[in-house]
Amino acid sequence: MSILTLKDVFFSYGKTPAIQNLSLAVEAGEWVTIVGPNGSGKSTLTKLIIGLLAAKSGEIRVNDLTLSESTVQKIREKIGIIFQNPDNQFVGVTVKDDIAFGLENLSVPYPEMIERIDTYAKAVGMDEYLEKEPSQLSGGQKQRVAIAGTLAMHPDIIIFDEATSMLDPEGRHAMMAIMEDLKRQGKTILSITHDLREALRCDRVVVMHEGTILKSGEPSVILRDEALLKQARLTLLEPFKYMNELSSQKRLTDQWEAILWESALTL
Amino acid sequence: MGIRLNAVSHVYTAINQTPVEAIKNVSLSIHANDEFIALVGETGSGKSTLAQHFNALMAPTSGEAQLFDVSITAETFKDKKIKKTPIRKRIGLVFQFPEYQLFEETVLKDVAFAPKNFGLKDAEANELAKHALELVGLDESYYSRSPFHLSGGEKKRVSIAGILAMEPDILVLDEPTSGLDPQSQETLMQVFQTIQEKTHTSIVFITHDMNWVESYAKRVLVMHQGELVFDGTPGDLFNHPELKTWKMDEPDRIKVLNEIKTHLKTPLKSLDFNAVIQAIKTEETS
Ligand SMILES: Nc1ncnc2c1ncn2[C@@H]1O[C@H](COP(=O)(O)OP(=O)(O)OP(=O)(O)O)[C@@H](O)[C@H]1O
Ligand SMILES: Nc1ncnc2c1ncn2[C@@H]1O[C@H](COP(=O)(O)OP(=O)(O)O)[C@@H](O)[C@H]1O
Ligand SMILES: [Mg+2]
Ligand SMILES: [Mg+2]
Repeated sequence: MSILTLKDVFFSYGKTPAIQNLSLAVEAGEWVTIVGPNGSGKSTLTKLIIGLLAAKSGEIRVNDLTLSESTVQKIREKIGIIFQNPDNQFVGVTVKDDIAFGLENLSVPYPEMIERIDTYAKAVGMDEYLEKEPSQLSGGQKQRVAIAGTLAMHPDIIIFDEATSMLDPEGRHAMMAIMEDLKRQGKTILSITHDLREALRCDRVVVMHEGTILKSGEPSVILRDEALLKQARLTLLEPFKYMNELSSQKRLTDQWEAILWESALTL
Repeated sequence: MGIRLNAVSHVYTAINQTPVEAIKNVSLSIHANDEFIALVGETGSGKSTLAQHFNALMAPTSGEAQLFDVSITAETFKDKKIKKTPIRKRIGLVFQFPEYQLFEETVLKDVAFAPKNFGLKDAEANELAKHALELVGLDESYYSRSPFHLSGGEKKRVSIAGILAMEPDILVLDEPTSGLDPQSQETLMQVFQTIQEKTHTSIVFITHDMNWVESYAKRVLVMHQGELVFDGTPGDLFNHPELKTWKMDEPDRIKVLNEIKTHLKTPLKSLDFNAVIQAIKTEETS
């Protein structure tokens, strides 16, 4: 069953539409990666889903709830979002307060709250920074704290809006492991990224362009489609350059396809 | 010499907080011409702190930053007679978060602000601004928009254009490609390279993406837990035994080649793309 459905959604900030004719159905437990050029409407889409912006027309549904003023609160309880700029997200004086804040709102009992803060701060490698002020952290550290704060709330759907853009290689790999783990737990993941290396393990890649969906499909198909990637201002990952070249010469064997795919997973 | 740091340390102190020594005893030199330097290191290793010492936005807690003809120390930084504006014109810094840099009502005003501030007439400043906006891929339709009502990647471009318009001698960019779509990242790196080649401007860019380090940097600086642990070429860095200790990585090209090598029976004679394709094909038929 679809956990999230968008039907013919339209939105504009001014004259030019930022989202148009957009329809998308996401299954419960699905991991969807959203890619596309700057300004193609990715962040706008996430803001529409959590009701921070109101669609001019069309319908957005989460489970059996249709998004409206009267359901927005209930819907937001199910969705955790990590914004593109983590600075917009901090409310607490310390990292610990900040993670606690969301949990207090959910009335999580104190002992469990402490346990969750500990678990998620460790998961993102920020457990030594619990007493620090969020404003005094480095860019990548801020991103990690924002991620911990969101995960601690145990949302059903988690939206990452370029949450890894300032992480070092190890941090990026750790994030991939966290997403795989969330997937195993049955969470639904929407992850926006400009880094195709982060799209290798998901179930479906959605390519956005000028406010609508250009194409969507399995990573093994989308990530090799050079013409499509070009249109969406993306570039082919290194292993797929070899794969496509061999394939164009009709010399790609199953064995080498597998080897090159494996090599992509090491990136 | 453009920038010379002598044993620079920076300690962040705040009320109720244990002091953080963000950079420790860092010494390095950056020429005013022809440098193309990547500054890398794990999150929190001190890159942004270091970069802010390059244009007198921060003062060393101890040690000295020699920025062209001005010496910045903890003492001289407070001295009002020592003007920092001329340094900031010669050494332009683009912040990691564009929000810290945007403040005017329109994109064009924002980008023209610095050249005006440094004494250019409105018309000249606007010309520079328009040229800079073109370089970062923003056309006329953006001129009168508010910089705050843009997508993340568009804000980033405006903040970069704002510094390009100043035409500094040294350009310091804190994670310039983060938030940009891949083709724009490539275009922008090429823009920096062209500027470097045409005007001999030295460029320092912070990044987490080793692919840019490999394809553009002539020199790499690695920060690790506040210390400068490596200063050399990209080639030497990627072969360095401590690469992983510093939480760094090889570029995709090298990783994929390494993986391919382990599956080929005969060693590769050349790492050139077509040669590798040929080697794979030969192996298949034999
Ligand atoms: N607050 C706003 N007011 C007016 N226009 C906006 C606002 N935010 C975004 N836009 C415009 O809407 C379009 C879509 O923006 P959005 O932020 O959704 O893009 P995005 O796909 O997330 O881009 P990026 O990859 O740069 O983050 C862009 O043309 C942008 O300029
Ligand atoms: N304004 C600040 N106040 C206190 N500590 C800070 C501040 N800015 C950064 N730090 C700390 O200094 C260290 C280096 O940060 P930074 O230079 O931003 O790292 P990088 O840019 O390499 O990610 C980190 O431990 C960070 O938490
Ligand atoms: Mg965005
Ligand atoms: Mg930084």
